[in-house]
Amino acid sequence: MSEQRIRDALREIAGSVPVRPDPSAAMVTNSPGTRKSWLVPVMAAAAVVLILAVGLVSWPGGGQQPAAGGEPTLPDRFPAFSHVQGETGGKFGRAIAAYFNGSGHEDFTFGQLILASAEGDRYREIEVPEVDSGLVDTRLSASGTKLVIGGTSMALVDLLTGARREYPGAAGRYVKPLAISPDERLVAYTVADSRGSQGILALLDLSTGQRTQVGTKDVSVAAFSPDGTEIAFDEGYPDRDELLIARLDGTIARRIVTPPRSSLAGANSWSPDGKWLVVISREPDRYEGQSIWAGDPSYVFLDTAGKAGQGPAPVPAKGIVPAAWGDALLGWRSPTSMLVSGGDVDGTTSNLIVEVNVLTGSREIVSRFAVGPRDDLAVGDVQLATGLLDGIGIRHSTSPDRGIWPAWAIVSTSVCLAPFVVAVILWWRKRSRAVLR
Amino acid sequence: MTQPVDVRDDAWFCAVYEDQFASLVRLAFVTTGGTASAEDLVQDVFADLYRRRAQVSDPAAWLRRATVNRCTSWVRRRVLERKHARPEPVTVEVPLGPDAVAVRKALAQLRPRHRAAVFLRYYLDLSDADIAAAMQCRPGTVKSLLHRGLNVMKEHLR
Repeated sequence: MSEQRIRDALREIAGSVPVRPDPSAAMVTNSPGTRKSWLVPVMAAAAVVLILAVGLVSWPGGGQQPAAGGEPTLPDRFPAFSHVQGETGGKFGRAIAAYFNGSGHEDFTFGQLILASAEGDRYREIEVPEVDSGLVDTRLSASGTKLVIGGTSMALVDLLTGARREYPGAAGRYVKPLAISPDERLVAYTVADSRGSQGILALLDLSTGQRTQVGTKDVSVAAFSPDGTEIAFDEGYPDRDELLIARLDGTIARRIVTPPRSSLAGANSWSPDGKWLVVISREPDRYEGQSIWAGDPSYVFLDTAGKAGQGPAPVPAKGIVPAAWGDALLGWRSPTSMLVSGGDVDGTTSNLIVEVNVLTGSREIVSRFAVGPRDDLAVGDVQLATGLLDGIGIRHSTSPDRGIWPAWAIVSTSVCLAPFVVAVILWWRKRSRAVLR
Repeated sequence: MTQPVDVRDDAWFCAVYEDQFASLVRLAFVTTGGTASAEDLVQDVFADLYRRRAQVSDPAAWLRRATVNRCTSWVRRRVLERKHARPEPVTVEVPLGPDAVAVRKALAQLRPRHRAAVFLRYYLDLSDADIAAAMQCRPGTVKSLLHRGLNVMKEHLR
């Protein structure tokens, strides 16, 4: 194809973009703030010096340790991605949250699974394997003391002791943990051909290793009932307009008709009293000329006994579905107050945790995930320790304790600094000799 | 807390908006591949311009530079999200002619900065110097971006 044809085609593509100029859409806050051009490099240099000081001089001894058995709280702010994030081998203590944190470039992407302490501003990366160039799926238990790691097999990590137990997978298949039962004995998981695919639902007894198949195929979300006796799941999303509820022996107890284009809101979709199941339902896409607008989502509450029209009225969910990926409903702070993963409630693209009252629909941002000044940090798959959320307090976050730098950072920084230190020593010795003469 | 300001009171800003908005949305669309994201990103750029209007002497160049920067950041984040997210239902394509469909597919194979360079040259007809200013790089780098971008596109257009 000639460059002229490319030019014409490009003009056709660009011309197909519907553009509606409207300056009023650029309503902004008036914060002119004159910033000096030298300020950024100076601040960056100061930050580097500070990081070096914290990472190499202050540590160890400066990191705050968790108050064992303290009251769990949820931070109002989670720290941004950092390349010098400290790691844990598994013995971390009780976690209030686990989430993906990453920074991306077209050539170099970085992803971390971060654990956030339930008792203080302590954050650690926990190493998980990659499959198909992405971190494997994980699931945090209700008490925040266990982490199940999927992939080509399944692993259970005890976050209090660091003990790890492996459960073999099937060759060439991907194991994805979907939910952990409230008593933390069972894991609902799927086995699929690849990461990201729907798969066959099964239950694994973590104490005996016994497995029970539940669904037949194409399951992507599952949620245990609060009493742990049943499990609800989507089968064949997005084509089927029903949820299945199964007993723990794998037999189907009942089916619940859902609105069109609905899916379970995640592993915490049962209300704490077991009366409702929460699904996200989407309006049909709208066509306006050549533009296609995605239909607005709503949280819809379905009676778990299958009776129509019993639950609270649907709650509009625009802006309070995950900005990236992961469960939409993160847990319940009270029987009528759910914590959801949000995207742009306040006009930003920050990832948020938003508290929504299911009776009134009122919402309040309780926590934010930093996405960087250029909005190029990714946060996804936010999970909370759901058993700690009832009436949980929100703590004001101060400076996060990220732990000691990873080994590669210490080594490379030391190598870079070594010539400078040697040069200073040589200069000092030369100067001392000159003074003595 | 600061109060929202209605930018329609600012004639200079409105004129710049009227003049530049469409081409910037198209630039953002070609770079990001989505209409909604393109509009959001360009709105953010204009909001930023409004805050800095006292310091911006060449708004067109500043807007192009800011749009390319924001789009590149946005694509970087999406790269990560796509790697980890559950696949979403298929979106519907806007009908285009065969050449445009082929070029759009070829553009999707490029990195965001290459896409931006191709758009700035072949849609906005900017010179190497202007593209360099928009992309905060040297004119020599623009030549390289265009050369590599077109080569990749032609490879996919055969």
